[in-house]
Amino acid sequence: MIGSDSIDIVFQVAGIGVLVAAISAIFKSVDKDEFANWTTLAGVIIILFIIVNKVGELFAEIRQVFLIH
Amino acid sequence: MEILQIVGLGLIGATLTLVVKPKSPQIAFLLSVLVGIFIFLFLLDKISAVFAILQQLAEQAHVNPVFLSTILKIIGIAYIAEFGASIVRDAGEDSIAQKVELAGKVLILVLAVPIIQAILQTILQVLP
Repeated sequence: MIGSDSIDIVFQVAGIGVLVAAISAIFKSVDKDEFANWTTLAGVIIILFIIVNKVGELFAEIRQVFLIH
Repeated sequence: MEILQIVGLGLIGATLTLVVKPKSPQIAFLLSVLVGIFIFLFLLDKISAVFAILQQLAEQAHVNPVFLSTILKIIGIAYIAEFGASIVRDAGEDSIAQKVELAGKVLILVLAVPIIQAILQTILQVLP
């Protein structure tokens, strides 16, 4: 079962992406470009954290299924 | 049926990626990686069911379990290499994707060598 939690996370990540993009657009409009870059970077790092957790889960499952050491 | 959920997830992931892409391409890329991971995680349950049946058949046929576990490993490596290569290609890095695929092939070859030796030995025994 793909489960409803997977679709929630996809929407969360998309939401974070849009939010971060909006915030950085606001920063750009008040000519604070470095803050804009920092917010985009922070958004990417948060999402990267979620993704790394999921990849770790996936590889653990693969290691179990395919009997790879 | 499960296929409907997979296609649904894929479509939603694609649309969300398109929504986020103009604003920040990195997050759009990470989103497509996430959707790929979920679909792959879902498939793993099905694959492990198939492999359990294969193992039973192998035991009944008195096949050497080493061969089957090597084949499982080879399939696993192929899966992961293809998964990684397609994601990296998605990000636009074709050369890295080819290196990942090359690494997958080499590792599969390394695993396949003992089986080749075993086959050759059995053949040599059969020949007069």
